Amino acid sequence: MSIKAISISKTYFPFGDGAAGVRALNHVSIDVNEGTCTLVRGPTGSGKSTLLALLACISPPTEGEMAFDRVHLPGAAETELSLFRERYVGFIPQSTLLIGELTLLENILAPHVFLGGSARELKPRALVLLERLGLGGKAGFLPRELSEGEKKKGMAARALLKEPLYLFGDEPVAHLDEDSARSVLGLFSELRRKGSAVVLAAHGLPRLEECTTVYELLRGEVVSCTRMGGKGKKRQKAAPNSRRRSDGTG
Amino acid sequence: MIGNILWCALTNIGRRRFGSILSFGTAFLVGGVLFLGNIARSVLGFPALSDAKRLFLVLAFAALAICILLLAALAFFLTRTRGDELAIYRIHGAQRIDILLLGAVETSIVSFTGSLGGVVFILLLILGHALALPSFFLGMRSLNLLKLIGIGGQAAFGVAVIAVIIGALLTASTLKRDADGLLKGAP
Repeated sequence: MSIKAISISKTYFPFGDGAAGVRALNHVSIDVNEGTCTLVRGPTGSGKSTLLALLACISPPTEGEMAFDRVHLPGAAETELSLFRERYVGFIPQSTLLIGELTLLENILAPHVFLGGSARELKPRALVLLERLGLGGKAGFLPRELSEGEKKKGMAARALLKEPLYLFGDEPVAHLDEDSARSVLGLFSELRRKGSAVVLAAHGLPRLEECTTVYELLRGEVVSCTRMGGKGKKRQKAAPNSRRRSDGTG
Repeated sequence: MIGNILWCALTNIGRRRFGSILSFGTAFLVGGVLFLGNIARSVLGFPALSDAKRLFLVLAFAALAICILLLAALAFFLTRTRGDELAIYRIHGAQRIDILLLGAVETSIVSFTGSLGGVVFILLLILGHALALPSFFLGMRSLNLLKLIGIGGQAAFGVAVIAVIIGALLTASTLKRDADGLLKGAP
């Protein structure tokens, strides 16, 4: 199974549909296959978060095609996209998204239980994940009692709880020290070895040696794609984008 | 599935103590006021009170409008603080209808128990003669205890329905922003 994005673009209209849009992503093509680890790199504002949101079917592209295992997603109804996210996607957002009134453990369980999981069955796995991330003693803490790094690890545990087929992490090791980053990336590697696809976005190169593909984004365009094969790295320069931007922003 | 939504609703109610107590208190007050209004409306049907009917109706409608505004203001305040939560559920695959259902279950639990509490409180005051109804009320065969309970049930149910409708409208307007919009933070 794979996610294939063909020449997708995303334009935001922060001042309404009639106003000029901001082009966050410009004709990007990317494949995400199971059992692989893809890294999306680039400076701030290069479109990494937008690309992840599009691949995770959280946000629809304004142009281009998305296909999941030969099922074309643009034509899919909102219900189908929600079901796709529920069944296959784990997502770690860049900003802290935890419910302030719930404990860390409840935060991890709540969305999964809400969508039909059994709290009794999921709780032991959530506790194991917290233990492995060094948060064993903090399951009952509220988010305001945790540091930014601990919140980030909590969000990682939430995304990993149901072992999704596709895991998307937007700066998943930001705010983390060396050991914590290693423990989070270790869990991602385990998931990948089980056959899931892991897609990470980062400013720099996280200490993850298992990346199979590295995409470099700049101003919403893929400027290079490096495939890490068994016989060494194979670097491909992305074809220069000849299309003119229709909105003239970006 | 209903069990899962109940788990989430009860967890949310338990953890959001401030909001839950505020909602319960408002529903208690509104339930009591509506109950008294309903008693008055019921009594207004008696021929002896036909002259006072207009005045009672004006007062009852004014009380009802204040109650609805109170519930709307509270629902608005509580919904505004839940943008992040909606985003979390949405990125994990919850559909809009699921979230509306969760909100409805939470609101109905709190508002129904609150308004029922208000009704029972007024009923106890009447039965304990602490709230003196005019003597001719008690002598009239059409206003017995059973009828009072019926009127109270109507009031409690009415408050819950109004609260759920207001909450659902506000949540639906928040959910118009799709998951990527919600990801940018609370509305």
